[in-house]
Amino acid sequence: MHVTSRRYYLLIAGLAAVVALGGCASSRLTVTGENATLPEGENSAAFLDRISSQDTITENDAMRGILMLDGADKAGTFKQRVDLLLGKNVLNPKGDYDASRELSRGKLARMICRACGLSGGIILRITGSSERYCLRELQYRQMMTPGSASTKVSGMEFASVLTRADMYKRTRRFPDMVGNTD
Amino acid sequence: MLRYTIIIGAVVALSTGPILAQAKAPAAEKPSAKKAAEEAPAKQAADKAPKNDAAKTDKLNVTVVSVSGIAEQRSATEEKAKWTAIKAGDTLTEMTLVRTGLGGKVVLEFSNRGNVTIKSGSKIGIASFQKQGKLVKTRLGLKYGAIRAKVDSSQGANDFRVRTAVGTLAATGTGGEMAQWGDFSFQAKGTDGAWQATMANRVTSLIAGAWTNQDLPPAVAQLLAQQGTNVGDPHGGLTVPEIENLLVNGGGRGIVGFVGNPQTGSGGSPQLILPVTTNDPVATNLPQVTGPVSGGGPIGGGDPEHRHPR
Repeated sequence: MHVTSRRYYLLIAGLAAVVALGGCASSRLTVTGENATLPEGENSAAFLDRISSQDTITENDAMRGILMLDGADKAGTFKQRVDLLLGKNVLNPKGDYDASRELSRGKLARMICRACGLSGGIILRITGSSERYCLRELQYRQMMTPGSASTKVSGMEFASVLTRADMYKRTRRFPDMVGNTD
Repeated sequence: MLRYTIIIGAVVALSTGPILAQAKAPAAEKPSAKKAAEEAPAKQAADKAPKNDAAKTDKLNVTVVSVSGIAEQRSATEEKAKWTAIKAGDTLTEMTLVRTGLGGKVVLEFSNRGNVTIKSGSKIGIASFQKQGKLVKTRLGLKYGAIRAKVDSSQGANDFRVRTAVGTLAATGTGGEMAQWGDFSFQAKGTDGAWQATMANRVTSLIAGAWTNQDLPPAVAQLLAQQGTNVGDPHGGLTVPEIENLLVNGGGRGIVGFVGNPQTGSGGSPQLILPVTTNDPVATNLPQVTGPVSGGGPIGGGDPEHRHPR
């Protein structure tokens, strides 16, 4: 009995340590490449043209695109972009962001959901805009194609999703396959 | 006995002959039917082609009817040309690129032969807009985004094509919409008349309101959607091969020459085709200007007379 209790104590202590460490790791904002910049004076037409030629898209570029949904990207550095999007409640305040890291579909879905104010269904409301359920919501709305949340986003795919998000944001209607919202 | 054997042999030969012929018929009909369907616009033009009319070509201009939001244009032929804002009333010539930003829209008037609406987040190239006799030939390339095309054949025959990345779309109607997305790939919708979309060897008939992929199993539609996702020109502008492709094929910037599908015979370049239609009885003698709809070629189909030797 005594030995068993001790084992339980050890197990509980171990679990507590794991939770504490995990909690510490995700309890604060991490921004890598704070001073990374992008081409200056780029409007949305030039931005879409540029990224459409890229195999993948960085988180820095992606955040510029999300900011363009509200007009223009006025940020000079990656850190400023993160701060602007945190202010708009688009990014998770405890997230990990890297200017040069390739964007995943899950992260894109979450940003689009938050930027467009998509509340989704019951699960999305309960989970609080998790990447997984944001992606499923956008797939259901035919804003994104089926696929894994961890898959990297290509430039062309990002341009397409961003364009649809913009159409939705302007009209509050989900566009069809040829870009109509009427 | 020999007589019976000969009679039985003759009866068997007579009875199996038609059966064998029927068995071979579908195999023989399939390619010819497909070929005929593909060459329908070309034949239509050929039927109306004058035998004695030289290939007199007049270049036409495109007028910008309206612009909203961010929209820019630049020359496709000048290496160092810069993007400039486009405004209503501007006149665009062949080899001009137009791109729109988020929320942008441009309406182009193609003389009196129709109009094209470039929706937001799109990029197109005007490869060719010419008048040959009574026939007006238009070639556009859609790199990404969506457009709405309306062709007016009341003034004469039209050969109107828009190419994107994957497949071929032929229309017998006068209006349609199409999109080239980085994720959902090639999408087309008929809005007026019957349409035919061809991607690889699959031909889909579209009536007004019908879509290209709506009847496909999800797995197949997804597979098609994966085509042409990671594409685009590497420099943001035009590379020399792209310029050549635009000249030769009339569009498909950035992808033709990179990931073409040889089965389409057009370098993987899909087309929105509004074949020659006319209400003008005078236009019965028109030159043949169209090649096979999915004609072959080193890097794409297009018009034989515009095909560069490579």
